[in-house]
Amino acid sequence: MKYWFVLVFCCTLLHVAAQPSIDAYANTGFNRIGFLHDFGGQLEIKSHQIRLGLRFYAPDQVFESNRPGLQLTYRFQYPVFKRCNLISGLQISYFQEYKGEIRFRLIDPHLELGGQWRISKSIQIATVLALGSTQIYTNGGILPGTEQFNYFNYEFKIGLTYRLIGADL
Amino acid sequence: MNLKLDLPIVLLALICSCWGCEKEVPVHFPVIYGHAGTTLADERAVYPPNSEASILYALNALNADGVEVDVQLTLDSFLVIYHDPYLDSRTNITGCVNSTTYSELLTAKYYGDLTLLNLTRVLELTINRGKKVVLDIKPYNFCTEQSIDFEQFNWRLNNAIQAYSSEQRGLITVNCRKFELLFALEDSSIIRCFEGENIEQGINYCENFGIDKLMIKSSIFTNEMMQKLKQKNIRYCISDIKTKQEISWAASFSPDEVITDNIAATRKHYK
Repeated sequence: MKYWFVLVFCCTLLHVAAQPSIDAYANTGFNRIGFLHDFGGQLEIKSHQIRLGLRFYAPDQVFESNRPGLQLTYRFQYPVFKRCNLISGLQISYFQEYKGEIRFRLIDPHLELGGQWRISKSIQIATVLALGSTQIYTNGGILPGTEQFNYFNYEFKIGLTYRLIGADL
Repeated sequence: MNLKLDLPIVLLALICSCWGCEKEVPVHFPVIYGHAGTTLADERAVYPPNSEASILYALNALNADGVEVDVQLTLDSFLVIYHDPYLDSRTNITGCVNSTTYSELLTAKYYGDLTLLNLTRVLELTINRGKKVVLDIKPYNFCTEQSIDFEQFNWRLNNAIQAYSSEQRGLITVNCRKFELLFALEDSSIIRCFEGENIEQGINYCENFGIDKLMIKSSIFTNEMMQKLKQKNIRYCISDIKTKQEISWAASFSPDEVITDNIAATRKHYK
């Protein structure tokens, strides 16, 4: 029971102190793996944004199916103008696919930098450039154990954020 | 009878029955080779073409059945992996592979900091692990404007493969546009593949001169060619496949093998 009190206390504190808001987001763009689409939810507290969502890569150079991967993003926003924020952050995605007998796992951590513009009380658009590495781990191939492949990756995407709960943008 | 309730049920049953009766089209699965490892196209490559990383990525990450690599004979009769006619297009030295010694080539920086692979290493990465390999032989020296020495090539190839069993050597395909080079090959386990645009000439080589299969570019392949090859029961490989449209186009000819610059999309197409 006391955990409930602690949880309610924390939520109240957060609400009073920082007035968190909840948004939905969608991005589309491309990187060296192929065309990508992101969907998910965002928790915003003051200048901090935490995003949890799914990423889909169009099957092409790397993926054979469009099974989604998990994506976690942290962003910090700096106000530049009245309607414009500069954003920087960290993003990591995880994917898994079976290619025949090979278990293929891909992790792509990125550093993000971009701009975000408010176009209405509840909608923002953003353009983001991200740089990072793509790390691939495979098992079950012709060699025993895990094999690793790394390469530099870059990413460009545009996105839309819609405010679901919280104060106007 | 309640039409409002029954109609959707009848429609649903009809749709389900249509799915159930869908005619199963037999799918012909070709052997899928990665072009120059994973791809020769720089805009698609994550690793340099014909490099060890590119070969391992194709075989162990993208699960290709094999790889195609470009083989050239050095001045002192070593076999190295390089695609272009001139060295200065992808290395920091000038000239042709055929006019340069192996020790000179070892000092060349390939794509910045790599060294050129040799055939022995490629065979360790492929047939030694049960994967297939196509050796695309470049038979012409653009610096001297002469053909390479086919006997020297045959001798060096025999040296490179002598440690392998005949079963492993059967995973090697030697592809060349010069019929004379294929004719000079002594090892009977190796698969001989003739590349050319003249289909009648290719069929003649297969029927009368011991060539095992033909290599034809996707851009010149036609239905007429496919019918002739199927009639004569000649195996054929389609090369130069990059886009999804080209993958579909090549698949419509039911090839026995394909050499692709997009392994994942090609595998997806045949799934």
